[in-house]
Amino acid sequence: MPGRQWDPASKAKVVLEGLKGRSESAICKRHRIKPAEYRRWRKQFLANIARPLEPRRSHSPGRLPIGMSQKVWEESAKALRVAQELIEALPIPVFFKARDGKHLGANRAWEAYFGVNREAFIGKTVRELFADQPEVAARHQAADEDLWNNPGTRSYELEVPVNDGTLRHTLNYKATFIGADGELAGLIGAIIDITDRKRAEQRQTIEHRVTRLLSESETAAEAMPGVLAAFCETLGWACGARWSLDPKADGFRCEETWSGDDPAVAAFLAESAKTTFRPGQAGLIRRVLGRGEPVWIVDVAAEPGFLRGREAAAAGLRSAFAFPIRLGEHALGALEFFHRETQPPDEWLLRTGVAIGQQIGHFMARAQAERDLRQSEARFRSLTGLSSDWYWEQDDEYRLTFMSSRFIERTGIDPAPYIGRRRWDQPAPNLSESDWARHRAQLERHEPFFDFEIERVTPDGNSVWLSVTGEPVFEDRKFRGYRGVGTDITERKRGQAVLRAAYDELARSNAELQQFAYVASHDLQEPLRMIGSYTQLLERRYGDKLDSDAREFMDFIVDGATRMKQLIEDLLAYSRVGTRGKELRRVPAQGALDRALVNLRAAIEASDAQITHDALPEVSADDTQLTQLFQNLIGNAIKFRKKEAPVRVHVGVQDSGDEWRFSVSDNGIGIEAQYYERIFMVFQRLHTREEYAGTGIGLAICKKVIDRHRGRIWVESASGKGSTFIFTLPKTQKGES
Amino acid sequence: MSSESDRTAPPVEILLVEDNLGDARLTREALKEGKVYNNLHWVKDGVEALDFLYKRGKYKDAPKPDIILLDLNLPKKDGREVLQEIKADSRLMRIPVVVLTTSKAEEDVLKTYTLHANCYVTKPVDLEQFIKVVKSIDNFWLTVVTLPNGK
Repeated sequence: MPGRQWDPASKAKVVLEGLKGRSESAICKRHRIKPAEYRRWRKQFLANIARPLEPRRSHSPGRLPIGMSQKVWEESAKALRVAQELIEALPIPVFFKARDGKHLGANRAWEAYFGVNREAFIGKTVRELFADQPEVAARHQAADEDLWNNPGTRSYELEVPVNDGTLRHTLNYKATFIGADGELAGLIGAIIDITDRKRAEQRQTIEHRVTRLLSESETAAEAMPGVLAAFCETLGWACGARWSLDPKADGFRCEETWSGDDPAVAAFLAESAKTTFRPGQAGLIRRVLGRGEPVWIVDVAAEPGFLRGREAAAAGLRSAFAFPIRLGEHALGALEFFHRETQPPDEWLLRTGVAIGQQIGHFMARAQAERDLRQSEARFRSLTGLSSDWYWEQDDEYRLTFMSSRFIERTGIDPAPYIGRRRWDQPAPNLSESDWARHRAQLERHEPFFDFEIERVTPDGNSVWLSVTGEPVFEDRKFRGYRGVGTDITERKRGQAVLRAAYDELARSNAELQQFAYVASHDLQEPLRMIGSYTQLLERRYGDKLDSDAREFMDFIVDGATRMKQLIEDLLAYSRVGTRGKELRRVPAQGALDRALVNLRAAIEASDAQITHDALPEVSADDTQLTQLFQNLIGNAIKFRKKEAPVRVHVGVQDSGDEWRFSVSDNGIGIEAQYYERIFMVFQRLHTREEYAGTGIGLAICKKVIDRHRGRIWVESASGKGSTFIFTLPKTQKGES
Repeated sequence: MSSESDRTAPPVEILLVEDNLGDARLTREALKEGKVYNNLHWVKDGVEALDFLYKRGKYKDAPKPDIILLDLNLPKKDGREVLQEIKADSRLMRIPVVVLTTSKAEEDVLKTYTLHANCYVTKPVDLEQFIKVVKSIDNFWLTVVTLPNGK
């Protein structure tokens, strides 16, 4: 092999090719070596490599052990080859290292684990192999130094980057071996991947801490710094923060943070916490909340989608990841974490984050539900404390199961005999069998009921009236009974009874009065007619036999009787406003005004009155009475006109919320303020009959009509300056459909 | 209408149903001043009125009235019932009925009963007015009843 120097490592590489299955001839051809030379190398290699697997015995490298025949040596080498093949086939990564720190070999599992061919590895030191991870190299080297000084076995855990660039937790097991010369020759190492176990432990640690924190806290805010710390401390991340959706600001806000004792990191988080991010902007949290999925940023400084990248990098942070706090599909917020080193995306960590996020989400939902419940309970307590009502519950057989203490306080009735019994098991004087049957049927239909009135009799014989309202209770769609409230309405009932009696008495007396007015006025007519007519007949037949005095007296008789008849007619009309009124219904006020004007046509024409009006609305009224109202008011306006001025009457209307406000204004003689009340009273007149005819019933009728329509009527006027009569009509009348 | 034709026409048969002696007399007096030659038959209550109309008992020979003046407040059977019976009987329903009421109010009430009276007259206190009313019945009669004969 001219021109080529073969160092031991190069020789070992050539031999390894053969061990991996390449034929001797192919190897010799490739490396331009003689088969004999190759075989020699191979023998040397196996002798050296296999040494640590040999039973301890005295021998020297490169030579036959003393007293060992060539045949025995050959056999022994054969056995060693088997052992070598076994190592090659082992599923755990194994490697060898010489005393000088250079790697001698590794098995297939090792190659697969690190994604490196052994050719690239043999002859390299750990510093060369882990040039990018000086801390990994340092840890290995430290372990090796320890072994060189104190030969034997060592094991230690270390996170190392593997074939796909991810970090794996490894348990490194190393043992020294002695060379043929009896000196420390190197070490053999095995690597056991404990990542899964480690992660399960870490996840358990995190979950355990999170669970404990959540169970000991009432609010997310209380638990969260501990949760963030658990994450960071367990996994070696620098800091973390919780973000929540802020519906008021329409964005999200940093709620709590955790950072070790690094002031730069703390400052970065404090700056984050001042900002409210709006949805729609780019950013880590926005992406998490937008997608509802975790997000990993390998390098915050190199990620344009991360808004706080520069600040984070300045604080010494590199990688970031964040995951949502979720309740089902609903994101309630997010947690974010930062690492000082660049971290490749870690699926396991992301999955753990999602699980923790859901745990927190459930906690927040439960905490909210508990807060709501507490508030609702507080409201309920406050309500029951302040209300004079009592609260009750019934089971699905309608038996009373609970009665609040307010019951006995209000009614003085001991609820004990009612508990466990149905409402109808106890006597109630006001309810008949059919009343109870109706109530029962309603309960059996599981309908709510309102103000069900029950009269109970106390042991000392007093009547107590209860009003009970209840609603059915369903759990999981299954009927569970009723619950509701009750009120003591004894006082109200007594009041009602008194009121009812007074009302009945009033109605009876009113009816009597109306009957009386009608009959009296009716029966008064006949004698009057006799007086008037026969006096006139007397005058007609025998006038020429009487002197002028007698005739004048007879005129007075007739005049008196005529006036008396008019008074009776008016009184009758007045009493009829109440008794003969029609139902109130929706009618156009214009129609009533038109009819009134038709009725007044003679008076309008005689006085040449000018009558104007606004557009009139539809109102709820008895249109006959409304006609009469307009007729009386406009009739008055014409009647009480000024001699010198043409009559002007305006009918106006104004919308004043719940009611219409009508006005009838004239330019007549006006009314002095002192008479404003008096004019609306029956037969009250301000003028003599010689000045103005009439009995003084018109405005009294108007007042009665308006009273019946539940409106008001009044006058605004000044003597000599005309009058305005104003009346109101409610827009809707009671009982109107 | 001349007085000549009055004399040639048969007397108008008037049935006055009126319990009040004073009113009955007044009606008779007023009719005296009217133009129409008439026979006034006076009955004092509703039962008697129907006996008259159905020619029962002492009214066996009573004529069928040409017009009925009917007071409402009658003993035994009041004016409303009488009116109803008249209007329900095909032989009587064509006889014009003038209802005499005591007050305007009463008239309004009556109209709501849909009793088919031909006319309502409120008895006035004033004699002059009463005579006018009776004369208007006169005119009514002459217009409605005699026109077919006098054409």
